[in-house]
Amino acid sequence: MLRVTRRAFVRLFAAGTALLLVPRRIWSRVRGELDASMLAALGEALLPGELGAEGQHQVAEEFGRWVREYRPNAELSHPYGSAELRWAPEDPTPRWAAQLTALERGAHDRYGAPFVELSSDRRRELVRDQIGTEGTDGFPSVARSRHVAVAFLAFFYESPEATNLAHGVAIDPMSCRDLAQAPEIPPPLEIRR
Amino acid sequence: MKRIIESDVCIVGAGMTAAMVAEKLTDERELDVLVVEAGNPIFNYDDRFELRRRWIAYGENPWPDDHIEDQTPLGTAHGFSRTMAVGGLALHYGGASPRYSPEDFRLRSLYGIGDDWPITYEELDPFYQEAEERMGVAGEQGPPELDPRSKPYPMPAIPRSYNLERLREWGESWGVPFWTNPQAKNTVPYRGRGVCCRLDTCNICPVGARYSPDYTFRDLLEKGRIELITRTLVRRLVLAAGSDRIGHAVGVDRDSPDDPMEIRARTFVLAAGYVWSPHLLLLSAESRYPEGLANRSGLVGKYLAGHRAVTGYVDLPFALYPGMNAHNSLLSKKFQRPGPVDRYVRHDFRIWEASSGDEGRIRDDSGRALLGDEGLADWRERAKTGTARLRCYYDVLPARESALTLDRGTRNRWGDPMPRLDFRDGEESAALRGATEERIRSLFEDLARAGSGTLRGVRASEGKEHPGGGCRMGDDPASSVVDAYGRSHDHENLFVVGAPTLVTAGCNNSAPTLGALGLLAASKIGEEFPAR
Repeated sequence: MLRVTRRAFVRLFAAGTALLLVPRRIWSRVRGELDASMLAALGEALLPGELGAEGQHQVAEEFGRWVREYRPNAELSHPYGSAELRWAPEDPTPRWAAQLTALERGAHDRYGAPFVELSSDRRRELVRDQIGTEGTDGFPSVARSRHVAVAFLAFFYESPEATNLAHGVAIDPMSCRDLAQAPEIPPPLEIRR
Repeated sequence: MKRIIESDVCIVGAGMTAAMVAEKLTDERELDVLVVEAGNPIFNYDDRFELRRRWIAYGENPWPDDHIEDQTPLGTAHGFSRTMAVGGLALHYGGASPRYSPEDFRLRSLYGIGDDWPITYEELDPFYQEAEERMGVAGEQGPPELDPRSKPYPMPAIPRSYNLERLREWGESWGVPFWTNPQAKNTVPYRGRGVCCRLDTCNICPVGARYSPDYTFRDLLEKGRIELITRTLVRRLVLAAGSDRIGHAVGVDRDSPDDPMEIRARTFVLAAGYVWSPHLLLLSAESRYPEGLANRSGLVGKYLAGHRAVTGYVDLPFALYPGMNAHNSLLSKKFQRPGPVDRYVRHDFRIWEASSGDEGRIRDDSGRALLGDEGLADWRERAKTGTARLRCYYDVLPARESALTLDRGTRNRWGDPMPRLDFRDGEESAALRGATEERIRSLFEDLARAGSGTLRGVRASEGKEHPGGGCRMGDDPASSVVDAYGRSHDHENLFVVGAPTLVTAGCNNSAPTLGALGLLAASKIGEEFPAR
């Protein structure tokens, strides 16, 4: 039992302490990593060219961060009006790392060169061969993607940046935006990368 | 060692209705209010941006540990949320705050079906207003004949986005008036909370623009107005010796379960939602009341109510920019306020911007993977036209046998049987279900046709949304559990407030109705205590 009196409440807030007795769920534990050069090479091949190499690499870095900060079996949101409790899937990193290794092996077997040295066309060809039919029913969630390339694409195409690019304006979904500007067509997009 | 806690008023539960009751009582009366919550306190204001980030990135619960693992109903628990924490289900609340319409309270008188409530819309109107002011509701006055209210909303409406204005023009080409659905979100600084900035994650609003009861409890605690006990489950209400008054409640401290706890109060208020309030009354059966407390009518747990949804999408002949403020929607009450009808069909009508069918995808229609520039080119082509989402909640009258009962085969760690839910439509609604859903589909088609769009993806929900009932209100003790104020017909110092007392669940979201009913109850509870 926590008996919250005014004195206790004010003292905790004055000390800048969140009155949250449940375990902190904001973790920064470093998990397994994916090969950064392989992710960058995937970005160059799979993402739109108008992002530019710098933009493609930035998405690859953000995806790498997503992987590092993933928490297997974390409690997922239980939607409003649902009795179901849900938990995050197991850590996909080992499977995805093995798939990157398979792409590298495929590059050597088929073209006699490392994946990162192949043209984008050849990298895409290898990816097409590996992802099979995944994604036929739309993007799976990133964490539930079977193949790392599908996860990478889902990660990008679910982002506000991708929405902006597709519509050619700065909608900036889920960012803090002035209410008063809502009636206006979003401003033209500046390529920020 | 036995612990005894005493207060003037003990409120069981710390959700929205409890917040309304606690705040009004302590604003207006001199009394000690104790709020007892089974779940955790979640006053983690410093963490909410990060929790939101992780919810967006990973889908993690933005309200971690907001439930008790072995405390959940069985059966057709559609519409039930697991949340048990300070703030209640409203922690996850999207902010939609429409009122019921006057017809909801007079179904028997107007349409010859169901039951009238023991209170009219007009009588509840000032309490609706008070709830909207305490929560902070931003709204647009609709046509007065469709959207009656005696005073303006406390805050100006959330501005219609470009998308929503285009959709309003499109919708009204059908000849039906649409206005914005009221929202419990700040459009100006309000009661120390921030202004909505279209973060569009209303289930966790890190700027505090969307009302949440934890803010009310925070304010009451800071002012020293209430005492809050958390992680304490009330397991039984016990009658005073030789009396029908509630003498005390038996609680269990989840952190010290072996120490008995007795909570004494002059008045007990059950504000634990449509599952846990009737559940507690049934658990409190004793020799004089073998079917449970407040249950001489045999109706505790009965008449569980809720409405169903019919949803559809329309491919529009013009472009939208999805994500400008996706939670905001248009509303019409035209179909909620019919005059005399041959067949009872009542529903609201809402329109949202949507991206369904227009979002990025990995494969084209032939199944070929879209890699490199192909994915963006494909998306741009499909984004040349937009999508509208349509949804109607239609009224479903509950059967008497739509019930919560105790499942003695499934118990929590303290040995209490868990509730089992069995939602059932009343005879009239069961007979009309197919025709109702077909009627709504037909309206969707009419709207799509009038606006040169194409309807697709129509589906009806199976379960009940915004559920309530289980302790329905009424004037007759033989056919109801509590009166219009939520006072038990059987125990003069016991009130049940909020969702359990609903006679029907209307055709729209219930938050301000629950708040208004709580405030109405508080006006009666407060009469026994001196004014401040």
